[in-house]
Amino acid sequence: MTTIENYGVILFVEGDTEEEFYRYLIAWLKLQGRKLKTVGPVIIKNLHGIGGFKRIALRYYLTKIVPQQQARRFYVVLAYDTDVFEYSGQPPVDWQKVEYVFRAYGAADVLHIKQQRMIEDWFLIDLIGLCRYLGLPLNTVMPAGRNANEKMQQLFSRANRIYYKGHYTKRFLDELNIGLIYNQLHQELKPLENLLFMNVKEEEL
Amino acid sequence: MEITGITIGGFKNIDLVTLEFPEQISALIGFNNYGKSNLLTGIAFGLQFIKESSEERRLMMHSQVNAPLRESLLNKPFVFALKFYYNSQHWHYSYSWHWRDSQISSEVLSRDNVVIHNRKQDTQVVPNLSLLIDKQNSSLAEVYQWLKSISTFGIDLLHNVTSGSVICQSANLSLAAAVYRLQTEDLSNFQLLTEAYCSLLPEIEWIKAINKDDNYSLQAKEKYIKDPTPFEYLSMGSRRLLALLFLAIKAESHQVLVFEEVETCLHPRLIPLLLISLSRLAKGSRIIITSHSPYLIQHLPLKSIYIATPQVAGVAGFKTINPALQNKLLLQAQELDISLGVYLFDLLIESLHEPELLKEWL
Repeated sequence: MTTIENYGVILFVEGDTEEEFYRYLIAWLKLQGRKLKTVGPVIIKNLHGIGGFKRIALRYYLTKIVPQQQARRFYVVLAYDTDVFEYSGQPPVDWQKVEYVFRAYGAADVLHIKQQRMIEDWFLIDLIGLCRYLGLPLNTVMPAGRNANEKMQQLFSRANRIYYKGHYTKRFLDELNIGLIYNQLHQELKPLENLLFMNVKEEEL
Repeated sequence: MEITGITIGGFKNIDLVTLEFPEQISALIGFNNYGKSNLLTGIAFGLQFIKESSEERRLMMHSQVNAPLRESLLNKPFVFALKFYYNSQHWHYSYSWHWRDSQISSEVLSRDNVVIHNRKQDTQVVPNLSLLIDKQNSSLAEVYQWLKSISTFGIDLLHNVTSGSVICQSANLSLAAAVYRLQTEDLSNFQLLTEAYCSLLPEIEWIKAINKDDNYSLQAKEKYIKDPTPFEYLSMGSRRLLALLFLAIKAESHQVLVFEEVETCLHPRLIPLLLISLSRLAKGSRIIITSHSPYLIQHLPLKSIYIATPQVAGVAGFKTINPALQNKLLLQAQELDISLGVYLFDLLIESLHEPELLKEWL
């Protein structure tokens, strides 16, 4: 029988979009019967824009997590788009530097979830769900665009709406089929999944 | 059609400044009383001149408040040029004249670097204050008409916006009356305005314009408050935000939006959202803003940020960071763990006493 551990996980995300997505994802995996590996806290911390990633994340870690580290170890997960999108803060974050500081503050490990494609690519996997939310015909063709953010904008524009990357996502995440998205992103999300949940074989023991 | 650049010269304390628009939003940063507002006013002036009658043009050419006062600029002609992209071709239109004169001294239209009209060589007799683009019957009528249709929006926007603030100078419309018109005549854009406004201010559920015997007012429904709130009771930032979004919708496409200190009264979190909103609502238009906010500036690409160059004899100039040095600057900001905005504003502050520190980046 696999022992349930007692470590903490803090997942830093860029904005509302990601915060809600990971909340939905974790809840969905639990609904699928997956068991958590730890009884420790699992915190999702929204940094409200990539510009604040380093400063806000480190301040939070220093004030809220470091005092808890004597009782349990903490793992840090950094989730971010690797693309630079319009109106994102500059200069881009040096992720290796960020990792180095978290380790210096005593993090047990630092994992990166690099969204090689934008998180909007993930949402567009369930185009039908998005169309349902926007009140568009369910057979709407995927809009053209240089990247997923532009495609989302086009899609929202067809419904006379504005898509704000990283903000106010909750309303449409309700309509998305997280299972459909998870199945296509299994590999990208594996580090987080392995950290949080027992694997299927362990669960069977 | 897409405006890709504007040049202005011989206006107030502006010698000659060219702004290129690689992106939809460009920003001007610099000290107070340097020339940022003059540049925006000059752009509005140059575009308005194209649209006016000959008599109005004559008055504009004799306007005391806009003519250069700095000694080194006294004899500089007013120069205005637009670069634009149309039908897969690059166009350039310019005109110039001398202050207190009564004739246009040059006017040139070129397409892909080939001159189509040149006032000096044109054999057709043109009255002194007529422009070649005043012609109605021409194979280029569509281009002419478009040039004459470009307007500036936002130049007179106040910080303290109320329902009664005049928002469209040409139509003498107050904000409340203009929103009412949108609400009754253009429902789709009114919905878009509401969507943008309520997305940026999630505590507001809806906005409405009311007309009582030609007295217009605005109301907003706030969460947790039973009755609608009169617009005047909203915060200064909330009120100004509605005006900014309205002007962006009004501008639609192919126009020029100019906003001074666009971030005024806004929380930093709203700034990137405002930039997204303005660019979506104003679609193909160009947006030129001035800013004193490192928070705002960090969200724009370096190539779109024009920095006030150290003044010589009170003459203003604006330049971007030298393209060959832009990556270097970003790397330095990264190394120092500061935002692009903080880096640039630090440079500006230092340049007050050591102008060379800024010049070496330009």
